[in-house]
Amino acid sequence: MRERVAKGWSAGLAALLAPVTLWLGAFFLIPLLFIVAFSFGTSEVYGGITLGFNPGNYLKVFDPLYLKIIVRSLGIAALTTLICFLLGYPLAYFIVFKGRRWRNALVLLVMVPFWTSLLIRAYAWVVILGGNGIANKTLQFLGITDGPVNLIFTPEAVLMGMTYSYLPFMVLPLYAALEKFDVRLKEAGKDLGASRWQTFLRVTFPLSLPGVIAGSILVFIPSAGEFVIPDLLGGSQTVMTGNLIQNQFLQSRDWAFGSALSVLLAVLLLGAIMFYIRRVGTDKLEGV
Amino acid sequence: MKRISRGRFLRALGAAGVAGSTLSVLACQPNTSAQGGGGGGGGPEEKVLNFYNWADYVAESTVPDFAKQTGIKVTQDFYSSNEDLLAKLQAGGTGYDVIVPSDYMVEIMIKSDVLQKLDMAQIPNAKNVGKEYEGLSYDPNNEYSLPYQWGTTGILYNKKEIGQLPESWDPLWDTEFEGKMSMLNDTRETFGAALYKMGLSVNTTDTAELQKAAEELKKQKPLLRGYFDSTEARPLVQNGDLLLGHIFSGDAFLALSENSDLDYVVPKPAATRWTDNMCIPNGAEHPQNAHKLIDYILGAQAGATLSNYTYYNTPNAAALPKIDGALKNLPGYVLPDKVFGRLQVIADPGEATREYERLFTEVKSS
Amino acid sequence: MEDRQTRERPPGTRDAERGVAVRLAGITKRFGEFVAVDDLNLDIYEGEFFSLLGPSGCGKTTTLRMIAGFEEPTEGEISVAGEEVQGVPPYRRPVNTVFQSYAIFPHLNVFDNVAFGLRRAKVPRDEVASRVTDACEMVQLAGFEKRKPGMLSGGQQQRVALARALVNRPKVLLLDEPLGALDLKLRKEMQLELKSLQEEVGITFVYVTHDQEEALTMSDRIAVMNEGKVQQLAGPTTLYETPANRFVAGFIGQTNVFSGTVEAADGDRVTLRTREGSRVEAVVRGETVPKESEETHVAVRPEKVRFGESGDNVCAAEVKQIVYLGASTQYIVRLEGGGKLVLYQQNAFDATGPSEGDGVSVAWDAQNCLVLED
Repeated sequence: MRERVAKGWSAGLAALLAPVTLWLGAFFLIPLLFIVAFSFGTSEVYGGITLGFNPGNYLKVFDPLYLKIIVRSLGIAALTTLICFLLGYPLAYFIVFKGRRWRNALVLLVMVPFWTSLLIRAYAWVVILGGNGIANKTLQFLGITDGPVNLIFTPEAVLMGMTYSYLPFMVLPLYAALEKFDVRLKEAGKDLGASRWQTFLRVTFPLSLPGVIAGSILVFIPSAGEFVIPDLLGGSQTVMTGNLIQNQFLQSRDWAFGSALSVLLAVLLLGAIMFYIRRVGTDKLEGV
Repeated sequence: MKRISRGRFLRALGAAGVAGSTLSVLACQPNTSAQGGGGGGGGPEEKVLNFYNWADYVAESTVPDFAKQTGIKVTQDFYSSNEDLLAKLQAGGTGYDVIVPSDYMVEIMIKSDVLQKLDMAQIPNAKNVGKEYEGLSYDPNNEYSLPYQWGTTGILYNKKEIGQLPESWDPLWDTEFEGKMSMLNDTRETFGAALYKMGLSVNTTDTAELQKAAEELKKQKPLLRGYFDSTEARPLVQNGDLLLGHIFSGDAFLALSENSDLDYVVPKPAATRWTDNMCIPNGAEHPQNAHKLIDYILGAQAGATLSNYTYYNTPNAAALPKIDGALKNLPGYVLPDKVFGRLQVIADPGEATREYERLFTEVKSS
Repeated sequence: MEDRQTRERPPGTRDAERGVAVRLAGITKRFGEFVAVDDLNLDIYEGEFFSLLGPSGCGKTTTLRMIAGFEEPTEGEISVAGEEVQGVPPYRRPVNTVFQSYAIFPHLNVFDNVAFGLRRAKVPRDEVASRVTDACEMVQLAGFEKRKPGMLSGGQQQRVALARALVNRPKVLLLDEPLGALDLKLRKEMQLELKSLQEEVGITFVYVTHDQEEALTMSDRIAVMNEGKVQQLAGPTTLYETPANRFVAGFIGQTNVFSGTVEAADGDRVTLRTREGSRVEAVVRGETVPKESEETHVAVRPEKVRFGESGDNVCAAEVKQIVYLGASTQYIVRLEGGGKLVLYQQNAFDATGPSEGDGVSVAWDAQNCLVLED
């Protein structure tokens, strides 16, 4: 503390930061340390754990079955992120640049789904996409299909559900990034001979990259750990990493392996995010 | 076993809290009980009781009637899986007085030393428990548990569409019903179906047998619409999305009572018979009141009221004559002795649990 | 008004055949009910440093944006280099703009900013490099090519904006208050630099500003605008010496205005009786000669008024306030007959002026007075 004060930290700032430090320490850091400690322990048959150093939990991950699940989860998460981006960008762009006085109302609409629990919304999809649901009824009414078709409990339904759930996480940071965009830069682009599309590609889009990165991370991370939607909308036919971890803690009562999976997922996500940020380039973002 | 109540999202909500609850296992051992009483003494208890049960698994009148009779105020709380229940108990200091774990979980809890022995002197109505439901493998001397409800696991199907099914597991592997069938999203039950079909024990821990069962399930998977909880499968069969559903009996009876086109079959050569049981955890603060509640539920009228509400079977022989006639007439509700005789009880496979789970993950990922 | 606009030729155009770079013909721009630009007719000549000067909201920026293509006129035609450009998007017009807040691309370094237009025009790589280097040198930014805009000072960003536009060799360069964000000293330097740059490259500059001093310093011709109309179009000297109306007189430099009725009009000499009751003699230099008993205004610049007792107009006064301005001193005096007057006196070697509260006599000549329209 004395050192910090010496570095110019005021007592006031320290006092302001104390609650959040305690909060994060108690509810984030300490649990995280437990998980790391668990991941090197040995699971007892009926739950509980003997602490120690047992790297076997991590070696277990190299079971081709589990590797396949992890890789597929990351793939589905990446695909969800991509679809959210393709849908979310035009939406955010529209709201910011064409929304005019409806802007705030439109942003509010994007957030409306958060007003109810994800589970209830997922259930709504089960009803909508079911054999007797509105979707099937509409298709039959329009003469597109003769009878009910399988719209739910398919991999596509899982992807749709995840996109639906996480789209706001993409739209909101994009909105924030585009909203502070100086429209004169667009004019400057056009003035310098860039068509609308070129201006978008060379000016607007690069400058919205912080939003794209934030949105992608906010969508990718929960998607990679998702376990509710694959069960609800996928009929539990797809096992994702989240399901696997959940299973270790509840059914298998293998807390050590579950912890190892959690740690590994966290490390993988961190790595993926760092690679992504490097790749998409914070260097391009300097001076923004 | 009433593994999942009338809404899977309760379980999912619970699962969302997985991290939290597992951490609380280690983080602290708080005494969350609000009641002061405490201690192991046999002195007079405060007239309160904490009842921890599956959601929607008690008749609406049960608790008020019990309160009227005894003056004990019951606080109810709910869990959505046996595993959640176990995790809470292992954390300790839950303040719960009566819990309702399923059979295999009673076995695990006894082994984990989280239950206290029942004092039969305080439960005169224990005599009402039918002989078939006493002394089951998970608690051979009924030292720790008395049965609450029981049921079977079988197939609910649309008789009008596909006609009468044979008493067999084979239809669930029939390519004719491709995309119109579901299995339970329950490792032991779904492996059980495959094991029964091959004439094997539901409690096998033989790796080769488990492998064979897994192969059967992999063959079956492309034919399925999905792996659903019993409460999810029921409406899907009821509204025609599915022709066949692997299901718990209570959900099947609920469906049959609403849709006469359906039928429920308990297949040969074997099927699961499961029991949920009333137990008192170690550290319960109102053990006397807990015994009173157990005794009350094992009463003839209370037992019947309960089953008439849940649609599950009662293990209470004295209550049996008071079960609704309409319920009794549903196919499969009252089982002939020879059918009852071929039912198997799922036991805790111990170390093999993880092999079962790994294989089910493999099946789902195939 | 029309006659005034066409009367003056840019200085240095001995041949009247100089080409028109931008022609605005009958331009009106309405935003809903609001008329931003009202039937504007303007010819801007090739190679000219042309300023649109006026207070905010006068329509000067709107006019510039219509030339650039960011706004379309409600009525009228715009041609750039002889071609009509209505409906032509900004990126196909042979003009470039230096924006008020520079609008430098923050994600690109100086080189990429300057190269932006050339790359869009598919100029070959080598040529891009050499032209960008030349442009950076021209605006004294050589060596800064790899810097990001965030690491540049305001003045340097200004130069980037200039280089980025000029490198494309536009027919016309549009500048929208480009020096507004700079501090005074830097602004003065940049004014001179811009002027010499314009002479060097020979490109037509259309410069929007609300700063009259800036416009006077740099421009060949200035269009003073107010409420969507051109009040006067002329070179700096004419504007200052013979403002066409009260607005221009008040907007360009400081001036003393007397309002009243014409008591006597004798040829080009007019005697005005002010509202306060004093008499002012003035020589008419415009075409319109006010008649007797007409309402009119007479203006005299502060530097044309002196302390003394000889002149066409002499008046007793009391010094109310003295402001030392360095090169000169500003005196505000109260005239005997009522009304205030401002006068400047150069601070020569031995000059000693009156003090506050002193009774003085002020004088000015009729030929330094202007008779103004409303």
